Amino acid sequence: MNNDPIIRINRVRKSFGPVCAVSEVTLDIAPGEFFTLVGPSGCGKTTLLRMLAGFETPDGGSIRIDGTSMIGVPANKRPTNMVFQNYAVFPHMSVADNIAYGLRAARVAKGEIIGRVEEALAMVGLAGYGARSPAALSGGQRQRVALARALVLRPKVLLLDEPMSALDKKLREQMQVELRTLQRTVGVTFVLVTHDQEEALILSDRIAVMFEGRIAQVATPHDLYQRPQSREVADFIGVMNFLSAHATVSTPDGMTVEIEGLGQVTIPRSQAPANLGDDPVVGIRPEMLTILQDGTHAAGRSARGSLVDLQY
Amino acid sequence: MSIRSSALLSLYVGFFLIFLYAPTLLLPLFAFNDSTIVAFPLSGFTTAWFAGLLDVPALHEATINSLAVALTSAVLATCLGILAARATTRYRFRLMHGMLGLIMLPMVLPEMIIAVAFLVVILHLGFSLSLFSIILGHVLLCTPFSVAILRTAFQGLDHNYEDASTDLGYSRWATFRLIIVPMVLPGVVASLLISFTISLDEFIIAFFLSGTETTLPVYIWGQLRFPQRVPNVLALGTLLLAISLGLMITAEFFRRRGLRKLGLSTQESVL
Repeated sequence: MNNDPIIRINRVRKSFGPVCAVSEVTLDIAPGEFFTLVGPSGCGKTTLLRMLAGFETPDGGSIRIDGTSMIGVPANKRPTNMVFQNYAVFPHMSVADNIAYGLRAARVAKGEIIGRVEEALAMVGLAGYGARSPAALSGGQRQRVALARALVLRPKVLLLDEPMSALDKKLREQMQVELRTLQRTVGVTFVLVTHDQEEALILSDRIAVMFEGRIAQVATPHDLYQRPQSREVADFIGVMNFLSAHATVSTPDGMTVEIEGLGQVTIPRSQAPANLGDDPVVGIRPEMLTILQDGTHAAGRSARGSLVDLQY
Repeated sequence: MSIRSSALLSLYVGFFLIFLYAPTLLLPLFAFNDSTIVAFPLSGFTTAWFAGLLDVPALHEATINSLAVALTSAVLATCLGILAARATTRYRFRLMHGMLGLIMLPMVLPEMIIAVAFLVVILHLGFSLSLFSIILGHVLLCTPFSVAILRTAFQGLDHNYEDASTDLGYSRWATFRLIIVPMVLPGVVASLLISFTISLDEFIIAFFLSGTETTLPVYIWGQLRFPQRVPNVLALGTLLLAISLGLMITAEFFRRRGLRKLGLSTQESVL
């Protein structure tokens, strides 16, 4: 496998009337990567995904998939397949016909179609369900049919538009594990869109956080959680307490800031941006805090306070 | 509600239903009555009036004309209905609601007005009246019903189905054929049946716009001048009633099945 990006998005723009949905997005996605676009609703993530699929045309910029420009290539001619939010499993066809649908368009030989449909059903754990009607399936099973229907075509990129949002919490967690395993098995590049940051952290190799049509940060789940590059990102991913501070000393090892009410705190170099403004904001993950008895000697960073309320 | 007012209400509903349907129910009653005089008391049971329908060539001709007109009108109105329903449910465009209003207008426009207007225009353009002119009028009349039925069918259609089909490698036309048409098929059948029924029963437009060839309702109207033919006409009317009712029930069955298939409520009816 070469390491050239499978998807190259370069300065892509898209507006709907006066509303700018995606502005100047540049992004590379590596082959075999599980890549997630995450952000609040209306941030342009779905529009970007639909431009990859070919359902929307960019106003400007370029999209290349596997080295080929996608400008002017219609959705039915792209090496991508999509799993839709409500799965869009055709209700008037059996499960097997749904999965065979794309193979028939590709004029795959009849004998081969049967084998590949069986294979795809087994892959998503639905062996023996071929003759059933989609109406007789649960939400989770319908999602598997949608996955099988897309993956049976062996796309270069699988696009997933909020595939978990219609499932209840328990099933969602189960499907997340299965989706991750499936992606590793088939090795296809997955591009997932979700508004659920937790889901993004669980599933992805890399995540792009989007706000108002722009990409705020692209990073691995670990880096995104530990080293958010802006307050917006820090606020969106996980829970974060924000404390306003003044910068005091900056050394090669780290940076010392004065936090109001807490005193001086030294922050390691890896956690601090290169240049601090006059009034930086310090973010602390709640799980990083430990509450100690008054009078206990605490080494390093500690501050005195009183416990006002307790919630489990 | 007190017992008294509930009894009054029942009485009112009873009278209402009798007033609405009793005259229609008299039709089959006298059609089987063994007398040329349409009056009580009934004298005996006969199917002679139905049998008598078989040897009237003019009636056969009118029947064939009616079927041809109804079939053509139903197909044309449904084709127009599919286009209008698709356009107004899939796309948003300027003047859409105004356009829909104009399409629906013939539902409330007096038929007499439509008939006279068509008559004037057709004669002024120098065309002669024929079954074709009746078809034109009937298409205008049936299209609103067709649009109303098909719009509910198309509204239940999720855009994602189309996108999914395109995504899986099909052109827009193939998607229309393989996904959209099968999914709205029950609505199409319902539209065909209802348009067919409306055209089959329609009198005013058919009366004004028919040339030498007439349709069944116009033929029946002509026969009413001959008192001895009245029982025959009642028999014919009974048949038409049965056919119309049967078609309407079938149409509603298909429409509901279609909505159920798409997982929608079947409670409200367009008609």
